[in-house]
Order: sequence, then C-alpha cells, then structure tokens
Amino acid sequence: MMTPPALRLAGLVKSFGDTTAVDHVDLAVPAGSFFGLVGPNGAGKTTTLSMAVGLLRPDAGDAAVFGLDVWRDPVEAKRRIGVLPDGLALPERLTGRELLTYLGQLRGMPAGILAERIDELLEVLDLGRAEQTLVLGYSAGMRKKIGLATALLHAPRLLVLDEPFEAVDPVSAATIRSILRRFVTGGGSVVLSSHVMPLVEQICDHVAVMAGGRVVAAGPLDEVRGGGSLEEAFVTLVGAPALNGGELAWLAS
Amino acid sequence: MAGVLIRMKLILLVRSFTGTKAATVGTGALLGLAGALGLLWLVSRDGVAAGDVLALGLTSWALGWLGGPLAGGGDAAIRREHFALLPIPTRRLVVGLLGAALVGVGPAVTLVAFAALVWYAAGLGPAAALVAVPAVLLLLILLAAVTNMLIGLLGAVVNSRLGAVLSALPWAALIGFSSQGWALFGVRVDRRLLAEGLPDGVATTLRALPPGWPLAAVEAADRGDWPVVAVALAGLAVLAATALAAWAWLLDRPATSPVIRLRLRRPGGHGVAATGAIAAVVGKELRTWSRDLVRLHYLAFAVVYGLVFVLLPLASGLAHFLPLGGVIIAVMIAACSAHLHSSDGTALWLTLMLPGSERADVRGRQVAWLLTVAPVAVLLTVVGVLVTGHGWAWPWTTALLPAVLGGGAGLIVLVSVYAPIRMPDPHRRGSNPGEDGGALSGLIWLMLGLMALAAAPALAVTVMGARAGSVGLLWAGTPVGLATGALLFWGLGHLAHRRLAGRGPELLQQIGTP
Repeated sequence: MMTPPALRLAGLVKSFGDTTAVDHVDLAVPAGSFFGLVGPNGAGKTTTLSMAVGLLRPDAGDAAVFGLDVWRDPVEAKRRIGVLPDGLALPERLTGRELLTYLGQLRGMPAGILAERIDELLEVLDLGRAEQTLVLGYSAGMRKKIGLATALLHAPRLLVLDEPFEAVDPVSAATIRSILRRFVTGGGSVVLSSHVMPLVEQICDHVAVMAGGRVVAAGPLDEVRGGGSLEEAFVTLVGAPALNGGELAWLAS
Repeated sequence: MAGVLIRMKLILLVRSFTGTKAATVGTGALLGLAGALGLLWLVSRDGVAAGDVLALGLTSWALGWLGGPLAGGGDAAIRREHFALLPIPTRRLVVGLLGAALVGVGPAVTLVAFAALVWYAAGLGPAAALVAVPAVLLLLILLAAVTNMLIGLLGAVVNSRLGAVLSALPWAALIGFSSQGWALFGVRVDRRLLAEGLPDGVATTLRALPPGWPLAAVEAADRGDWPVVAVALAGLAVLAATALAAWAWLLDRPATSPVIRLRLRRPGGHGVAATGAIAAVVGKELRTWSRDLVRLHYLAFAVVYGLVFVLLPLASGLAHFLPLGGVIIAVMIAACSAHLHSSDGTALWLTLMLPGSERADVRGRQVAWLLTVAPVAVLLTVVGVLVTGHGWAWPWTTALLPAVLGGGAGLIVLVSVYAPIRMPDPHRRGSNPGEDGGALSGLIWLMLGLMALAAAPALAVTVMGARAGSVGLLWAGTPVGLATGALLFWGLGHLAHRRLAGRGPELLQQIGTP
C-alpha cells in the first residue's frame, strides 16, 4: 500500500471580496520530503498554508494530512501537524517556558516528558537566557524560535512553517536549518514558504512556485529548476518587469 | 499640514465605518445628538433657568470629553508614530493633529450641543451672541487639546503595571464623580431645579470652572461687563495654548510599547503543579490578568469607580450604597472584560490548532475571571454591610452577587466570542491602552445592558418580597440569584465554546490583522 502524502491540497479556492487570493490550488507534499513553497509577495502562499492547516476556511477544495481531512477529521489531522504562522500573536504575557508548559498541558502531555522536552527545546534554540522576559518583549528572531518550539513540542509528523527564516540572524538560522534537517532525516515532513531562493535551493528537495494565486510549477527541485538556478527558473515562471535604464532618472541628480 | 491631515482623517472615518465600529459610533452619535438636541430644547423653553441648565450642560459635555480616552474613545486613526520619520516641526504637527482631531463625529455633536449657548445668547442680545460664537469654538478647541494631551500623558505613564493601575484612578474618580456628584452638593435633580436653577454656590462654581467660561462671558456681555468677557475669552485661549504646548512636549517623547521584565521568584522552576486543559488555561489567564497592562488598567478603573460610586454619597450622610459596592464593582469589571478574545488577538490560532480545546479555553477564562473578581466583590460586600450595620442589605446582596458574578462569567465569554472587535495584536500595540481600546466603549455599554438583564430575575423577586413585606419572598431572591448565576455561567459558556468550535476560523479572521 502506498503511504498517503504528508499534505494534499485539492482545488483550494479563497476569495476576499473581489480578489481571488488562491485560485484552484492542487499540491501534493510527499511524506518525508522537505518542501519549499516560493512565490512573490501576494502570491497566496500564506493564504494557502492557512487553509492547509485549518486556520482559514476555504471557499472550495480540500486539505488532507496523511490522508486525514483537515476539516472533517480535525482532531486526528491537527494532532500530526506543527505550525509556525507568520506574524500571528502568541499568549504574549507568558515567558517562553510558561508558554510551552501551557501548550503541553493543554495537549494533556505528562508533566515529566513535558518538562524534559521544554528544557531541551529552550536549550537547543538558545532561548534559555530569555526566561525572565515575556514573549511580548522578544525580538523578531526570538519570536520565530519560540514559535518553532511550540510547533515541535508535541512531536508532529508534518511541520508547516510560514517564512521561518524571516528576521532570523544567521546563527539562529543555521540552528533552525539543522533542526529541520534532523526532523526530515527522522522521517518527518516539512513544508515551508520563503522568498529566499538560495536558501530553499540549499535545504529543500521539492519545491512549488506560486504566482497570482496559482501553482505555476511543482515537483522535485531539479525538475523545477531545470538546468539553471531556482532563481532563474522563478523569474522565468513568474515574470519580472524589464527595466530599460531610463526610470527614476531623478534619483541620480 | 492641517489640510492634509484633515483630508486623511475624513478618508479614514469613512473607511472605518463598518461592522461593530459603525454600530458603536452610530449609536454614540445618535445618543450624543439626542442629548445635544435635548439641551437646545430645554434652553429654548419658557420658565426654565436656562443659564444654570447651560452651566450643567457645558460641564457634563466637558466631563464626557475627558472621560472619553479611558473608554477607548482615543483617536487611533492618526497616530504620532505615523510621522516619526517625516521632517515636520512638532509645533506644525500638533496644529495639524488638532485640526484632524476636530474633524469627527464627537466634535460635530458637541458643536450642536454648544449651539444651545449661542441660541441662549441670541435671546439676550446681539452683543452676547457675538461673544458666544468665539467662546464655544475656543471651548471646543480646548477640550480637543486637553483630551489629546491626556491621551499623550496616559501613554507616557502607562509603561509599567503600576502606571497602568495609577493612570486608571483619575478617570475612575472623574466618572464616578459625574455619576454620583449630586450627592456632594445635596442637589436633587427634578422639575424644581429646571425652574428655579441651581443653589447659588453651585451655580457660581460651575461658571468659575473653565467649561463654564463661555457662559460667564455671554452673561457678562449681556450685563455690559466687558473686562469679564475679555478675561473669560483670554482664559480659554491661554488654557488651550497651554494644553497644546503640553501635548507637543509629550509628542516629542519616543513612542515605545511597554514591555514587562519579570523578576520571577523561582527562575527555572516548573512551578505549575496543576494538570489538565482547563487548569492550564486558568493558569495562563491568571498570569495575563496580573501582567496585561490593558486588563490591569480596566480592573483598577472598575474597582475605583465602584468605590467612588458607593463612598461619595457618604458626603451627604447616605450609607445605603456601601453594601452594594461589591455588586457594582463586579458589574463594572464584567463590563470591562468582554474583550478577552479580541485583546488576545491572533493568538486564537493556537486554540484552533488544538481541536477539542475550545471548551477548556472558555471554561478556563470563566474560572480565572471568577477567581480574580469574586474575592474582591465578596470581601467588599461583607465589609460594606458590616461597617454600615445595614443588615437589611443581606438579602439584596446575597441575591444580586451570585447573579452578577455567574452572569458576568457567562456573558464575558459569550460577548467575547460573538461580538469580536479589532484591536492591534499585543505585540503591535502603541503606547496607550486607551488608544488601543478601539471599539471597547461599545462593548462596555452592551455589557452593562446585558448585566442588568442577568440581575433582573433575582432583583425582581427581592423587590417583590420587599414590597409585599414578606421575609420568605425577600430571601427567595437568593436561590433565584444563585440559580441564574449558575445557569448563565454554564449555559452561556456552553454557547461560547460551541461557537468557538464551529466558527473559530471566522472569529480569527474577524479579530486578526493578517
């Protein structure tokens, strides 16, 4: 029997007023893959990922995690997902440790296991020094890291990360990369969105390119980028306005 | 500069007139307009001491302006932060911001109310009318300037937990005073007041305070007492200029959002012994109640308002309100607490990612609210009754307190889930909890109405008992209060977590600013 894909999106549609943000998106993320979702600003990446994990109700279409429908079987589907949304709040008046403890208790995790995991997560993500600070006072990079910790806490099988490397310093980025690699090596699957092509090229084995609410290319990395770099393929697929050199002449004066 | 900002404000006003905000602004405008037209009507009637009515009217409107920022009436539309990088001198910016502040529903309605003074002056003669116009305009500018200065001051003070509590005190005292201030003067508000006017001392005091200066100027012009006219008008202008200068000084301070650094007693300790989902939410909520500046601010406001409300009548020897202090504070805190999900903002996504945790989310918030409020309310009630020796109050308090505590715990989660308002996420807030309140004042009024309904059955039974002189019926209010409290706690909480489970993503979208 074939294992179902870690994430399968079928015919997802979402409109906001007159704008169609996501326009019939189909996507399959193979189990055990490290999947990069790239696209220009406003391509619909965040909207797609929100619908994929059950935070935004689609106008049409389905999302399934390991064959479990996110909207019809939310308990089992969401148990297998860890999510890092971009820019959403956390319970801001808790310290990092208090936040993780709260989430673990909410999930009914045994106290001993929970405490061990929290110690380890705070240690690995270098958040140990911030135990006196409320999440509210975290820097942008620390927010990403505590967000990743909340996504990892319950040992999910699929991580869905929206812009996990934005505003993260190089050292923390390297830490996050190695954590994610280890997660995939251990049989987990990762979907992440990013603007940074070299980074996606470096860590992902599958990619999808979104533009204007549609998936314009998807598949194994080498297939999508052909002979060139991902960036070249991206510009070809998405299109970039050609500058003839005469624009913004007033800047030179 | 002023022209640009006024156009910007008009566009923002039109665009923001949607949803809950449109409803609250619309209701507020209608109520304000009714008050303004009522004042006009009263002043134009024969046999009314129009001068004294105007003195009361102007003072009430001024108090309303001062109380506005606390109830979330602050103008979040155009913020200082928006201009942080533009090379505009602060003085020009303040004039521009003042211009923008004068454009809006509030100033328009106020101007209608102030037209009553012009109407009154026109009846006195052309000279008085000529003085009235600049006088009311100056008062409006003064009120706008003082209100904005206070908002700035609030922002400067509220950067710590102590600041959040302290800054609530003057507002609470002010609003408590305006609802119970009659007791200080021993003034009975009735038909005789309209015809005969205020007692001399009160009438003079109201005219001597800045909101009464336009009236004083108009009446002086009628008498031909020009020095008084000049002093009154110049006084208004000087006060407005001073307030503007203070506002400009406050604007020059860097805008930072407040952050608390904790000194934990047991750093690194795992601390929490309780297990289970509801206990986890209770723990999170209790921490939030003690650390969130907005929640602390409103908590302090409710307690101080309640204390002023029951203590002020003591000035006229009335101790009857004292036993009810606990009930009043519980009602006020409930009214200020219906923004739980709105003020937590997009953190709701965590609950949505954990299907089945909706019930714990709601029940935990209810329990934490009760744990925060009930001890204060019960203590104040017991102390209030014992200190005054008003033993008659026992059946009333034992009937009302459980009804408002249980009803409050049910209503806050229900309203929080069904009537979300858009607030900036906690990590994106500016420096002023009043400004960030947004449409909070609408929720407060809605909650006050609903709380009255929650208390109605227990109150009705107790009143019937008192009327009939039946001790049995009087005390029957207590089980009725307990039953309504328990039923509302359970039933409304049930509705709330059902709604959260069924329409969670939609709630996130309504709250969220993705």
